Amino acid sequence: MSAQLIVDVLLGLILVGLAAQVAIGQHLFRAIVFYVAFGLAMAVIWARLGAPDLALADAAIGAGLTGALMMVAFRRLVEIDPKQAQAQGTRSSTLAVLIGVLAAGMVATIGLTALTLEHQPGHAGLQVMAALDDTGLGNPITGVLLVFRGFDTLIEMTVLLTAFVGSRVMTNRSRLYVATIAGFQLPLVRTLVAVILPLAALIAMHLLWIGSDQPGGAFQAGSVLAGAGVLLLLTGTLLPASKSRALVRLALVAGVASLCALVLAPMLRGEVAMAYLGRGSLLFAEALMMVSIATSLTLLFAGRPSLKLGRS
Amino acid sequence: MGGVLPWTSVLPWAVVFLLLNLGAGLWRAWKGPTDGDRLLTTLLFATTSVAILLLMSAWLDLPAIRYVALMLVLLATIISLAFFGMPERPPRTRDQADD
Amino acid sequence: MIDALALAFLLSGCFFIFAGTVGMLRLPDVYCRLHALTKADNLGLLLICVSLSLLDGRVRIALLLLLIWLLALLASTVSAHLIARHSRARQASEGDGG
Repeated sequence: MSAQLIVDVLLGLILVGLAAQVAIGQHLFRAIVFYVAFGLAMAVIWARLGAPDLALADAAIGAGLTGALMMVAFRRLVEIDPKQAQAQGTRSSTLAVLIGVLAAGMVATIGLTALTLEHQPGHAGLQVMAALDDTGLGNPITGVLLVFRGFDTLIEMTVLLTAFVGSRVMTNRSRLYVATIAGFQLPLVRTLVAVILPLAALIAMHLLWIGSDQPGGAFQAGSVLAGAGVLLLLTGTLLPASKSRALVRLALVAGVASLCALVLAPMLRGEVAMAYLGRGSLLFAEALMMVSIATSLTLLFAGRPSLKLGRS
Repeated sequence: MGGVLPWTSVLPWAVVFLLLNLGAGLWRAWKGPTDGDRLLTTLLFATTSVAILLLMSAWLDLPAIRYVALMLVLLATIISLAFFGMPERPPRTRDQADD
Repeated sequence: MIDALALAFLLSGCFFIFAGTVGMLRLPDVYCRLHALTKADNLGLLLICVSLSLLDGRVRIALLLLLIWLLALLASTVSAHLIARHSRARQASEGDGG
């Protein structure tokens, strides 16, 4: 009975158990706590599967951002409808169980198919690894994201921008709900912000820089900065502002714009669209993508198109 | 990793032990009479996940996992901060004047 | 014998994390549970970090693990304080008005 097997089985059980509880559990607050735990377990599983890039992005977004978002939404819900705090739910759990069983069946089918699938001899992964040296990059993920499948990344950034615009359409006329906690006067919280903010900036820059050769990159760096942004919003260092500012709008579109530049610039030189221009161009695009991702996610959490400084 | 012990076999057992701790901690999230008790589970998960990630980093020989642990611990307070804003007594709508 | 030392630290680290979990499950009050969890878990994490630093041998890794532990300390401290403060406030409000 090898320890590896037990680790995998335990991780699987914890994950499925948490997911089931989140989906069919009837106590809202408990479900939120389970969801946060689920996010953390997910990050551990990505690590176990040997995917540090995914673990990095998932740790920040899945465990921190969405959990805080749900907590704040729950807070708002309780203020509107206090019964929800202890609600033992009138939600039909039979439907949830049915959906769960169907989803499990789908996953099982896909999983079994994937396990019995045989690799094609010239499959894409091999080609990426073979061509990676030509690009001068050391991290195959970055290679795929920005060099071999750059158009997909352009579309991803556009999706993020679209999501932000969509959220603006939805929340434009709704009353502002400020997520700030009342306790910023607590000296502990001020110290927390003072320590975490510079570290987050440093770590984000580091992840951005090493992303070319080691796990890291724009998404990971952006999600760290987004987490720091959520921290600032929660503590009142930053507050949502309704008047959209040019700088913020610039930050939002910078990612899409830089990738478009990557697409068009080679064409100006007579090469094919999005031909590889070198590591420097990738770093430039990734830096702007990082800014875009951080700004979009923070503003999605804030619920308003801009930010202003709170009393500090 | 040097040494006499087969560390790649020892470390997974430590991970198993910590995972069992996680599973046991979930009971408090289920039962804990107050919401604060449930937040304890989040705290347990955060600290134990960091330990698990660090152990995995050495076991699987993936140095990048240490950065995952760093990021996790950096943003760990977010949940408690979000929770702290929960109203202590029922509805007192908080409208702040916006810009 | 670096090995024996690292193993000793690892085992004691796991023990303390176990102690924290036991405390969280068995103690009577949210405040007691906070005490048990934060103190024992942080100590356990420190011992595990020391063990891993010994295993790896590089100073850079040891410093990174130290940073991670210090941040965990900060996070647990602030989290525990916030949870306790909020529980106290909720307890007080349920006591007189709720």
